[in-house]
Amino acid sequence: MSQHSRRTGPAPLSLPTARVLAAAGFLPVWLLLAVLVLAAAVLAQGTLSATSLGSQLPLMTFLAIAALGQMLVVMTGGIDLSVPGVMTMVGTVLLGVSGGTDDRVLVGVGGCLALAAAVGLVNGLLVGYAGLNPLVVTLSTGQIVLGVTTSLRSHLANETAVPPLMSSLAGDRVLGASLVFWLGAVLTVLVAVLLGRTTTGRRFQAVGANREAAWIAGIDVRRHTACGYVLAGLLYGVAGLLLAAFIRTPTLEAGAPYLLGPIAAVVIAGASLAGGQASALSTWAAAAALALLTQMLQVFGLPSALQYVVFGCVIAAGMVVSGDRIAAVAGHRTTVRATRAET
Amino acid sequence: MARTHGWLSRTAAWVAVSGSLAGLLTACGSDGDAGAAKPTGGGSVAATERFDASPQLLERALGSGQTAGVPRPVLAAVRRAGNQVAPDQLALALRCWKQKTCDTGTGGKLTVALADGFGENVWREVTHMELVLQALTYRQIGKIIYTSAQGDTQKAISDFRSLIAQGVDIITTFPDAGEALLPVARQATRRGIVVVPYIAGLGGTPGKDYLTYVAEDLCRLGKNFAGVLNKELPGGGPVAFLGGTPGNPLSKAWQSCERPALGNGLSVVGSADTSWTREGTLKAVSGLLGRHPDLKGISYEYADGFLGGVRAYTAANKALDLVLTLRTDEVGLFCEWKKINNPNFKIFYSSGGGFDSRIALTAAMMKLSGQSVPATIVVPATMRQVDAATCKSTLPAQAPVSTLVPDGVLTAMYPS
Repeated sequence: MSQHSRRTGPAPLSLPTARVLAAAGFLPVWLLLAVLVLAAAVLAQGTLSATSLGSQLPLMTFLAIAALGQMLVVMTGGIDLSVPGVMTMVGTVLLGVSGGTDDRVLVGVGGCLALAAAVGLVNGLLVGYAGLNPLVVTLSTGQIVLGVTTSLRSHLANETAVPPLMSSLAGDRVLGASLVFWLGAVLTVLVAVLLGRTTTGRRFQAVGANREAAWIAGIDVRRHTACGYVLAGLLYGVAGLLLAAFIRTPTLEAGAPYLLGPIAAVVIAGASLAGGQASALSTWAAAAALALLTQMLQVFGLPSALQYVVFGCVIAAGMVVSGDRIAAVAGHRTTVRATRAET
Repeated sequence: MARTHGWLSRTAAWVAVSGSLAGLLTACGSDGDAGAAKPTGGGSVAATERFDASPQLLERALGSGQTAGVPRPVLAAVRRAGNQVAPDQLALALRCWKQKTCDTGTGGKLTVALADGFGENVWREVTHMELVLQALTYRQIGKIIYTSAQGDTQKAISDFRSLIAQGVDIITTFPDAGEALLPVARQATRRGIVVVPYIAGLGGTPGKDYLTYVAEDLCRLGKNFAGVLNKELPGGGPVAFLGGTPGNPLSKAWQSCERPALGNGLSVVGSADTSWTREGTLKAVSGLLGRHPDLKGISYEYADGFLGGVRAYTAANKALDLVLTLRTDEVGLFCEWKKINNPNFKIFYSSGGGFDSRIALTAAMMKLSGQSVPATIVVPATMRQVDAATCKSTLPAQAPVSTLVPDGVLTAMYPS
């Protein structure tokens, strides 16, 4: 058996080693966040002022929730470009269904979430069951959703605001931070628990890590892939609703900034775009790091051109030292050492 | 083949009879314009313009009822905007506003087009209605065509080419794509089509490459902003500029004139780009507040976008003790200002220029009537302060308060 191992491939890692490597893979984003906080404290103190954080924490939360959805899709080896369409749609539908009154807030929220999940379901069926390319599928559905939303918008009787109850809640503060921020934090923990502590979550992770192995293990890979898109759609819906509540009068451009931001957050958080494991907490940290960086650059007063350059460089650097790469390199070295030890 | 020939003959005869009838109707059933018609070739029919614009309408549009120094096409356009909209005309206007192509029913020979670079928001929709209503005051205009490029430069070029191919007589355009449209504008001009851009420029040589450019004096706007801040903030303090998309020439034009015109004690501590969205403005103002929580004044182009700025102040838990100077005048912000009810929050606005499409059309009609039109028509504007009466809660949030579309028409466009 030992000879067979030597001839056919590297020695398997022990479970504790694999766990340490997996954890190490998500470490860089926390280091990045710590470095940015330190840099902000020393170089751009305004970034961490109460005034600044008051408006930045909600913005970070929208990005984080959208990134959590994107993470679920990326784990299955897919990608979702329908995020801006869904987030914009949710804001517009909320305005239309609720009519800006508290009486219909529940109908509005429920309807929006159902629609967002439905878009995710369409994506999931086309990618998971029909086997279509996720890039093309989600780009198409995103455009269709945006087109329908534009049409809906033109039929809105007036540019009403979201129900006062929602805008009031979005403006509330708990323990000094926006309620939106705490909702995002709770949601992140829930996703983390779902993925790490439940059978469903572990199956989902298994599908992301190795589809063939998961299939051999008897897991319905197609169903789990489709479920990933549905859950992602729901999360985009939540992000869109919170964004609409925060802005009060969302426009057709509301979701536009969330096309690439969530993907960047997921990648910096250590996930591989080829699929595999990801961490909800690290994704949250990556979203926080990106939001902090954006605010720092604005506080520095850099011109937009330079902001783009710095932002792009940081994302590129984040990818170079991303947990996924580090885990891969460290894993390779560990495996080589283990193989040598066996020989 | 014989059947085809027969069909062609019948069609030709039908077209000839229809054309004669249309010409007869135009000549017989017209107002004073048609009587004064002076064909200038190319099938155009002249229109008579009057320049005694109502001071109230001038005040609403330009912020001043004075006519001195106001270009004649502007006066003529505002004069026509004062025409009453009869109930049957209202229905026709709404139909023309909703449809891409519309027959005005006058039998007029002229076809007018609005080639919009982007048409998917309330402000642009109101601008479209301004043009429709203006067109309906001319019996010489028989058809109105509307195209929206939806922010796509390629589509904007394609729309222009399509209009040239359809043989329209006049193209008014809000050319968001800018100089990318200059070649097709030149092509249209060579074909005898009267092209008039408004608000955004086409580059090239106005008066030669196209009839005229209905423009605003952006440098004057910047100086007007500075004048307001100098007066309202005598004690000085930090002020900031908000612009649109990074590197856009519009923001650069007024900012470069405002900066040197600011008085002693006022210093520009920052500028940020917003991409002209509420969401972008929220982020930009958040960034500015993080660095300068004691900001005293902000100059910006886009009133509706500053609703995002208001949210940034709310999220930062800061009172809006601010003097805000704006180029446009969307009513939503002004109603929000009324709700906020903070005497230290002062808003001054210039004019959205949504009625510039009327001026563009009237300038084109003046040209077809043989009247001279300057190569550039600069629309004057005066700064106005927002007060409680500025908020018209029945209007959509993005509707400009300086619009010349009557309130009744706006209500019909956006029933609540």
